[in-house]
Amino acid sequence: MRGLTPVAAITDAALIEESLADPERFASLFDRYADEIHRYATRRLGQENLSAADDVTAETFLAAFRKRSRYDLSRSDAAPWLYGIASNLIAKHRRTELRRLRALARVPSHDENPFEQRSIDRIDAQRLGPRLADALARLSSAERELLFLVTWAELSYEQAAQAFDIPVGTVRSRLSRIRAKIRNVLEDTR
Amino acid sequence: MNEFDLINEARPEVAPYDPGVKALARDRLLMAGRPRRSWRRPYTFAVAGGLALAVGLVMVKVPPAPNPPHEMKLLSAAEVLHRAAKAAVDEIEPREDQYIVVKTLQTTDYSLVPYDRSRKHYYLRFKDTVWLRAGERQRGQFVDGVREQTVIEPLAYAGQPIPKSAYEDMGTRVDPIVYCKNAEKDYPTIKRLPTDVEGMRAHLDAMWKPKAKKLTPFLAFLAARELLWQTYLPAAQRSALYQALSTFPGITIDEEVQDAAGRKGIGVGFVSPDGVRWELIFDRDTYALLGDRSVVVDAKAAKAPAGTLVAATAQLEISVADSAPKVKIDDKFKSGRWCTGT
Repeated sequence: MRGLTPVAAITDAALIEESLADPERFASLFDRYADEIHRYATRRLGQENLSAADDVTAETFLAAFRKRSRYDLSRSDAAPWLYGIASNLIAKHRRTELRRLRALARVPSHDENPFEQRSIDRIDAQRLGPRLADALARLSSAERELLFLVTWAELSYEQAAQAFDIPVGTVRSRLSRIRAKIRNVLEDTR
Repeated sequence: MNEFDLINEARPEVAPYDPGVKALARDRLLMAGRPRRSWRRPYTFAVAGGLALAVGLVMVKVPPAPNPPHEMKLLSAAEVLHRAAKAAVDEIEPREDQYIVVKTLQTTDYSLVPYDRSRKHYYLRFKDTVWLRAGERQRGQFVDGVREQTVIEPLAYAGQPIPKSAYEDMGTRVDPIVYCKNAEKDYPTIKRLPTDVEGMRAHLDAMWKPKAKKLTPFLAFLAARELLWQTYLPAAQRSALYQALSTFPGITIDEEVQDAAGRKGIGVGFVSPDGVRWELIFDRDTYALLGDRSVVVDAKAAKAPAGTLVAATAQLEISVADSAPKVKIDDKFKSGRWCTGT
């Protein structure tokens, strides 16, 4: 029977290589990562900006498809590459994200009536806390991108380095600076 | 707890990627790899229906599946169902005094016919036309519709000779349709079915009560197939039904299958406990329902070679008529205690 067996596990790099001759093979990469990238974009831009997250996801794969011939085939895992592209696209929405973070920063962390908090963004606000939201809003766009990749997207430092095409040592030093910045804001407003 | 832990703890839970939006994004990606051309045909149903209405006759044909230059690959079953749900349109709008006319083809392994004990294998084929009343049953009206069934030329099963008796069955007969209680599929009943996914799931469950304690994915599939067979399910209910089916685990896709009329499409369905895969078949261009089929996938469980066709159907045409053929109605139907089933 055709079509009933799962797709054999081949590496992302092999898929990308195959897609150079057979472009439709690239759809398999979409199948592997679309949910993950969409989840990440939605977390970043907020459930209330779902259409922006939808656009970022679609654009990420289109951009990846267009530049697949430049993909470094020695990297078997394409996740960092895709997250790197998604991050650049999310950064273009930084106004949306900043607006969101600033709005969250104004929401009191202890709501008097938590049971009436129905919408997901209100729950985010409660979870993120206004001080943390404020700290994030004060980071540079590049810093936020890196921070969220190693936290919310759970990329390793090595993967984050690949995503931004920077040495892993740079990732470490940048993250340590970011931590210090956040700590300062949290302590200042305590 | 360090700063990164705080951020991780604040990671919001988000709703899953909407399958419809995801399917569109995937399409865009596939399109990017193809030469530019208009790929999605307009919904033939809607166009044909609209034109035909203008001349007082509604005649809708399910379009044959063309051979696209590039095959869609690795589409998931849920995506196909979501696309079918999105593509569902109301093809006909019958008046209450009219009849819905559905034309179908069926192929069935004769050994499965319940009244036969010979266990002969050949494919029995039927060409049916059903007329179903579009309005509520009126006083003095004892039936829900009429079925004209023609047994057409049989086909050989896996190279086995076709018995002479198979040809003797050929011919046409006309019978009344009287749906059994709690299994009504007449239009007034069917158009009141839920239009939301949860409601439709509950209805599929109710269709099995009290026979089955738990609605398994396979039972849900059979119930869905029943709702679609020789009926006209309005777009809203059809859409809800497809989406409800997509919520069951274990649903898989078979990329190239054929309905009873030989039209190629995408099969979406489940494997039954006895090793037979049951699937609905959708046009790969319009996502219109073409028919269904069941085929052996587990030779041991099914006691037949894998790939053996068990049965197939094709829904050929849906239209509206002002009248139905006359049929003799036995007194037993008038008593209200008899029904003909589906």
